Amino acid sequence: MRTNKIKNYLNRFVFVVPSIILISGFTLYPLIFAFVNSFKKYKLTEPNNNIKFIGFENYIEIFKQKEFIEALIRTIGLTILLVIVELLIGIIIAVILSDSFKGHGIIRSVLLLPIAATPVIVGLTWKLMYDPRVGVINYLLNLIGIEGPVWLANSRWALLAVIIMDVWQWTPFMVIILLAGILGQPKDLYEAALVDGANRFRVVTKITIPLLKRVMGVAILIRASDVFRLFDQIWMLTRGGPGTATETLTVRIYRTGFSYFEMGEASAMSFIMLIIMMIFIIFAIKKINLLEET
Amino acid sequence: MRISKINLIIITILIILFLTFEIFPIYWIISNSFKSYKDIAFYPPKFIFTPSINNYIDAIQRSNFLYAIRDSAVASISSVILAVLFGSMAAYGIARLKVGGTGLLIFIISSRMLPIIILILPLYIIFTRLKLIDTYYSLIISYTTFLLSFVIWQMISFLKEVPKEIEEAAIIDGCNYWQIFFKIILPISKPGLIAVSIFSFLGAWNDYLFASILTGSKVLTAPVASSLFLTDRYVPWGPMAAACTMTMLPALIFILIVQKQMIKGLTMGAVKG
Amino acid sequence: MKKILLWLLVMLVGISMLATFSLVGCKTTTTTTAAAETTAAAETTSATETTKAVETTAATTTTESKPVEVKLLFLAGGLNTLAPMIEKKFNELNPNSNIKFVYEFADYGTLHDKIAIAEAGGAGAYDIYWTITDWMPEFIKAGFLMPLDSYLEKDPIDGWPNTYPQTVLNFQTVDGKLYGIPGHDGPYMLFYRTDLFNNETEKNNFKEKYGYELAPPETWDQFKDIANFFTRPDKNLYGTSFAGNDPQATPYDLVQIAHNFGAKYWEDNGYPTFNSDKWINALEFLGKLYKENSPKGAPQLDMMGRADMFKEGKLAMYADWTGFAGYFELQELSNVVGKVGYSLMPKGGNDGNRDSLDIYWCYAVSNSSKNKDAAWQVIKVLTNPEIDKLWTIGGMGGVGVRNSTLNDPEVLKQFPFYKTMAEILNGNAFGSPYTPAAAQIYDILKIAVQNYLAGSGTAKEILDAANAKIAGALTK
Repeated sequence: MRTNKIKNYLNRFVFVVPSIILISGFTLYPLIFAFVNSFKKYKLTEPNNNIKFIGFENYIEIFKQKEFIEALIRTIGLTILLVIVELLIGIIIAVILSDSFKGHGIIRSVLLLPIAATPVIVGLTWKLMYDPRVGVINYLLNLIGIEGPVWLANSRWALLAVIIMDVWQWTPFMVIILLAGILGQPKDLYEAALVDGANRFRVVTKITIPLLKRVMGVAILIRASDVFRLFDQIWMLTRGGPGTATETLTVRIYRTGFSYFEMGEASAMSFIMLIIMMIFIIFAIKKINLLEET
Repeated sequence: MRISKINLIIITILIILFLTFEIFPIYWIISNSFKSYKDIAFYPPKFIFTPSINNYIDAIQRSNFLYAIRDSAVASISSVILAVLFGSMAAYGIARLKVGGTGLLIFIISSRMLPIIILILPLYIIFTRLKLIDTYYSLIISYTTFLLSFVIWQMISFLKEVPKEIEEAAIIDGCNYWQIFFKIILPISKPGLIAVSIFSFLGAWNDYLFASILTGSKVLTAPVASSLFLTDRYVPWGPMAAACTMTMLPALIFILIVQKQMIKGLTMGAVKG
Repeated sequence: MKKILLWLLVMLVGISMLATFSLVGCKTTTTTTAAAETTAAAETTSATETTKAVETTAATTTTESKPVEVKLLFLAGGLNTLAPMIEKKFNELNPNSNIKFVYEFADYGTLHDKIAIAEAGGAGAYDIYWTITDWMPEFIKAGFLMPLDSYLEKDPIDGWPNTYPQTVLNFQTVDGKLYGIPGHDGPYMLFYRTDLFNNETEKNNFKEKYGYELAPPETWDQFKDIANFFTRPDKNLYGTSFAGNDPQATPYDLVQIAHNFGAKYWEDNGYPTFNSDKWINALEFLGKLYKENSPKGAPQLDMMGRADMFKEGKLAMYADWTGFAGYFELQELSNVVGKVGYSLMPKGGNDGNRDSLDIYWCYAVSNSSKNKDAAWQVIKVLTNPEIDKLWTIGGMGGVGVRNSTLNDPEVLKQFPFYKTMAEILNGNAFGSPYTPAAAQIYDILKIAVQNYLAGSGTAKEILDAANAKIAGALTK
C-alpha cells in the first residue's frame, strides 16, 4: 500500500521535475551566491583572496544611506501608483471594449504593439520625444499654446515622465488580460441583471468587477513584481537622474554593484528587496486563492 | 444593451484618445526609420518629409542585422517551447496532481523576484564552467528559466477554468497522468498556451540584459545588435528606428498568426459553457 | 487557412531547432579539430550559415597546429569597419602566423560591465580589451590587466615611446608599470563658429559693447562675455550650451572648468578637496552659464544632443571632446560644415591654466588571457602608424594618437582640428582623478551638478556633501 502511494506520488512528481531542476540550477544557485556575498566585503575590483566575511555590516551600511532609503520608498510608491493607474485605465478600456466595439481583434493587435517594442529602443525613443530641443511632445504642446516643461531635468516632471512611459507600455497588457476575463464571464448573469433593470454602471460595479477578482489579482501580481524591478527603461531614459530623483531600487543596485563595484552591498540590497517582494507575494497568493477551490 | 448618445460619444472619444496615446510612439519610431538624420535630430520635429529606405540598408549592413534576427528567433522560439512545455507540466502537477502546494508555488514565483542584474554574475560563472558562453544554449537556458514562473503562474489560473470531469472520466478509462496531460490537458488549454506563449515570446525576443552579457560575437541577438549602433559620438536615430521596426515585425507577424487563438485562450471560461 | 499558418509556425520552430543543433555541431568541429585541412573545410561549409560576427582565419595554416583565437572586446561604432584592414596589415607583417581574429563589440556602458564580469566571473574569455583610462586604475587594482613592460622591452611597438605625445603615456601606468597602448584620444577642446566670429558687424558691435576684439576666448570671463553677446533666444542662437544629463559630459564639464580655475583634486595629504573655494566658484560659474547662456532645456541634454545643437547652428561656441569634431564636417549630419574653428580651453582667474581634460582609449591585454604572446602581436599591428592613420582618416570617428598622425599633411587637410589637438596633447592636458574610485567620483559629481541645477542647495552645501561621499568612497 505504502509503496504504491510513494510510486503514485513519484509519478505525479515527475511533472514538476524539469521546472525544479531549471529553477534551482539557474536561479537558486545564483540566489545563494548572492546571499553569501551579502555578508562579505565583496568588491568586484578586489583580487579574490581579499574577500572577507563581515557579518551584517553590509546591511547596516545600506540602511545608513539616505539614497537607499529614498529609493526604497520611491520604488514602493511607484509600484502602488503605477499598478493602480494601469488597473483603473485597464478596467475602463476593457469594459468599454467588451461591449461597445466590434473590432476587438484589430484593437487588441494594436494594443500589443507597445509590448512588442524593444525596451532599449523604447527608452531611447521616449527620451527623444521628451527632448527639450526636438522633442515632439513639447512641440505638440507648443502648437496648442502650452509651454512644455523641461521633462527630465526636474525631479517631479522626470518621475511623471517615467510614469507616462510605463503606463504607455503596460496598460495594454492590463487591458488584454482584463478584457479576456470579462469576455469569459458567464453571459446569463448579465441578462438577469438587465431584466432586473440595473443600469450599465451598476452592472459593471456589481457584477463585472467582483467576478474579475482573480484575473485582476494575477494581473496585479505580475505587474507589481515587474514594476518593482523596473530597470531598462529608467536606465535608458534618466539613469536615475536628475540627481537621484528617479532612482529605483534596481537602479540603485546596479549603480552600487557595477558603477561602484560594491557587490556585497548590492547583494544585501537585493535581499531586502526580495524579502519585501516575498511578503507581498505570500499575502497576495493567500488573497487570490490561486490554489484553493472556488 | 442600450447606451445613450452622449455616453457613446464620450466612450468613443476615450477610446480614440487612448489608442492615439498607445499608437503615437510606435508611429514615431516607424516614421523615424524613414527620415534622414537631420529630419530627426534638428528642430522642428518633422511630420512631412521625404521618406527613404537608406536607414534600412544601413541597419542591415552595419551589423548583419538579418543574422541577428535569426539568432533572436532561434533563442526565443526554442525557449518559449521549452518554457511552455515544462511550465504547463508543472502547472498541471501543482494545480491538479497536488504536488508541492503553496510552498512550491512560492519557491517558483520567487525565482522571478531578484533583480536580474544581481544574478548575471553568478550565471556568467555557471555558463563559463559549462563552456556555454556565447552559444544559443546559455540564452535558451536562462530565458526558459526566467519564463517558467510566468508560464506556471498563468497556466495554473487557466487550468482552474478547465472542468475536472473530463480528467476524472479519463482516469476511470485507465489513462495514466502522461496520457491525460498530452491527450486532454494540452489540447484543451491550447488557446491558453498560445496566449502565454505570446507574452513569453515577447519577453525573450526583447531581452537585452542576458543577451548582452552572455553572448556577443558568435551569437548576437537583435536588441543587442541594435544597441551596437550607439556610438559615443552621435546617435544614428534612423538606423536604430529601422532596426526596431525590423525587430518588431516578426513579433507582429507571429501575433497576427495566433491572434484568433489568443482571443480564445484569453477567454478560457468559454470551455465551461 | 488557420491550419496552414499554424503548420508553418511549427515548421519554422522545427527548422530553427535543427539549425541550433547543426550550428553548434559545426562550431565544435571548428574549435577542436587539430588538422588544419579539416578546420578549413568546416570553416567554409559553415561560413555561409554561421559566421556572422567578423571572424576570419588570418593566415593559411602551414603546420598542424590549430589556429590561435585572439578575442578582442571593443567599443561599438567605428572599429568594426577597421577590422578587415587590421587583418590585412597583420598578414602582411606576420605571413606565417596562424592567428584567428574574433571580434566582439559593446556599447560604452556594457563594455565596462562586460570586462568586469568576464574577469571577475569567468576569466580567459577575452584576450584584448579596448579600455578608457578612467577605468584602468580599478581594472589594474583588480588584476584584470597585464603589465606590458616586458613585452615592450623584448619586442617593442614601432617607435615607442618617442613618437607618441607625452600626455598619452601617463594615465595607463600604475606603480611604474604600463598596462595599455594608446589608440584613440580626444581631449576637451573649444569649438566656435568662424562665420560668427569673423563677421564684421558682430565684431564691431562686440567691440563697442565690451571694449575688446571679438576672438576665441582666452579666459572664462571672456567666454562669459562672448556667450552673453551671442545669446539671442528670439533668433534661436545661444552663446553656448552644456549637457546636464550625460554621464560622459555633465561631471566632466565641471572638472574641466574647475581645473581651469586652478582647482585641485587632492590636498597634499591625499584627502579629496572637491569642496574647495575654486570648485565652488566653478560650479556656480557653470550654473550661471547653464541659466543665462544655454538653451532652456540644457539640463536635460545629453552630449549627443548638445553636439546636435551645435551642428544645427544654434550655438556660437562650446566645449566638448575632440572626437565630435570630425562629425561637424559631415554634410549629412551637420549644417556648420567648414564654419568651425578650434581653440585651447579658456583660462580661469589669475592662477588658472588653459589645460584640457584628457582621457583616452588604450589597447590592453587581459591578465587571464591564454594567448598573451599572440595578443601582443595583434596589439603591435593595431598600434602600427599606418593603422593609426587609417583609423583617423577613414571616416570612422577615430582619432589617432601618434605624432606622425597628428602632423600628417593629409590628416591636417581633412581635419584641421588636429593642429589644436597636437598643441593640447604636447603640454596642455591634464587627467582625471587617478584612482580606482574614478568612476564613482564622476558619478557623485554628476549627481552634484544635477542637484545644483535643480536648485536643491547652494554650491557649497552640495559640494560639501559630494566631497564627503568621495572621501568615503576612497577609504572603502
